[in-house]
Amino acid sequence: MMDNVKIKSLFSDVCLTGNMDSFNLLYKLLCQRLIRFSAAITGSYHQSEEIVSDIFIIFWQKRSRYYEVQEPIVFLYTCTKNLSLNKIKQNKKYIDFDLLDQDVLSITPKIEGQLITSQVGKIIEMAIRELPLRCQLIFRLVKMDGLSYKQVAELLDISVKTVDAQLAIAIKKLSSVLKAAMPSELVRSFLDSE
Amino acid sequence: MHVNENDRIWHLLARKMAKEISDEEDAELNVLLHSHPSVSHVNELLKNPWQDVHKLKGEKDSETLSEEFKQRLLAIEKDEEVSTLIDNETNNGNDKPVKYLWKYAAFAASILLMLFVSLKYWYWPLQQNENLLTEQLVTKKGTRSEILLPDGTKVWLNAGSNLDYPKSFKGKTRAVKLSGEAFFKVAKNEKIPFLVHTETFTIKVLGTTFNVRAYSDEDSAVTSLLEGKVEVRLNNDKNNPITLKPNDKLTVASSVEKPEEPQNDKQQKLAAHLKTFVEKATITPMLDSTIAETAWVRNKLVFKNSSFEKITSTLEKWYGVEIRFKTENKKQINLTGSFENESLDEVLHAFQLTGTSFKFEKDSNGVLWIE
Repeated sequence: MMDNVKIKSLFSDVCLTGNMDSFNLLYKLLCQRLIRFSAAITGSYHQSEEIVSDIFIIFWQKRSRYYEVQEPIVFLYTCTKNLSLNKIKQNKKYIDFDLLDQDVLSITPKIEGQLITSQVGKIIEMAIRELPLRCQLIFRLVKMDGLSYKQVAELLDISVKTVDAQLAIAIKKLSSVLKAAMPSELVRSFLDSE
Repeated sequence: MHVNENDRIWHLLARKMAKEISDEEDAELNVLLHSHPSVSHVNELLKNPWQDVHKLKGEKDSETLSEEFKQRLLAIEKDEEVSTLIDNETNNGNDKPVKYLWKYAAFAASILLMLFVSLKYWYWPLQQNENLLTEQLVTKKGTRSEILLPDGTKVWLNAGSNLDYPKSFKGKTRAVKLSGEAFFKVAKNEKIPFLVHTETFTIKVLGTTFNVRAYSDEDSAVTSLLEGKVEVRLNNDKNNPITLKPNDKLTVASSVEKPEEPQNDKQQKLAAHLKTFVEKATITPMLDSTIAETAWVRNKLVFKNSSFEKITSTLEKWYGVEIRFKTENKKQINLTGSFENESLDEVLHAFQLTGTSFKFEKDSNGVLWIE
């Protein structure tokens, strides 16, 4: 989960004092999520790794100018979005959700320590893949990247209400396939263990 | 399973997952889950960690990514590119800069993009008119910065300086405004001259390398030309441009006390003219061939027979401290020295060791006193 407070304090530490350790830690905390996000747009992990690395280098070199940034996470995700769109020659401000790379977005619950089989995991994955790509991206940004409603809304230029509605759609879908897939006795044993 | 409350439970589950749920909503969710036990399982799944389904081609773990990034950062921090550029300028070599042009062009594109992106999050002190959208690069005392302007001109900005420049250069000139010290490597464009406005003078160039020092708290403004040709017009004597050749250095005393009383035009001009002291000299390299005027670009502090007063003015900006004199006559001592990576204490100790007699002490407010 994204630790908002920690990221904010690392970010302002970098801007105001130029602390390189804080900067490297910030990169370490965010690089994987940002590269995945970028790769969903570009379709290339390699290219996205470069994009995110470039963004952090530019940020480092101009760090003193960004101390007034209120939302470092949205700032870095937005930079990633724009540079990714720029790299694939989609020189526009908004993501074309239909062109997102589905394989990059795909997520599923971890099997270990949970009462689901890998088969149920597969069913969940497939159910999510049936959702519109925009919905999948929103679900991923909240569940995997730990972004807040407001952060997702700002990043994707949609309303907080839309974020809430899209997540509700995803969860409703999840629930219905789960209900069909879960053997009733397993549900009961799960409930007993509560 | 039937959930009739207008799908309310899904919204509550979503908010719970995103940690956006209020206490009342959480209580409401618990009641709903109680009456729809099968949904509890979804709640449980959403609480637990998820993972990516597909490993991407070439994907690395955060440890590897972080290590590789550190290496890249260190290489850039060594700033070999800047050193090479400056070395080539002073040695007149011309084999390497081309290699960096491409890099700079790509970098410029990224910066422009960043500027665009961050527009939304920035405070724009100069944003008055869409057509005159101006950017401002500010360096605080104790920090230095560098930037590539939209036309490819590279600017190194010394501590405590401001540079105003347009988002893009339009029209017949490329004009920027400087307060403080900067080193310019102007991209060649003979059709569109590059202008640097300062409080004291305006410099017009077509493509060249030069340094400008024009801090408003100092009594003179200096421009030093390394390469090419520039034309300087004093703000109070615009009709008599002064042309500089490579290695020329022009010092202009700023007329700090402007006449307060309204006078007739001619008198005012005359008075301003008299207050302006102009001196043209030649840049002479130090023994180790560094040039005092531009050493700061390479993170070096070089003083050549400068007055202690001038030196402390530079040290104040470089180290971000306040320095005052207890004994007036110490201001006029002339000192020479070259420093790299030394602390302020070390610099002052070095001056003491060269036989200059003075003492220094920091008071409780952090002000450094020299006597």
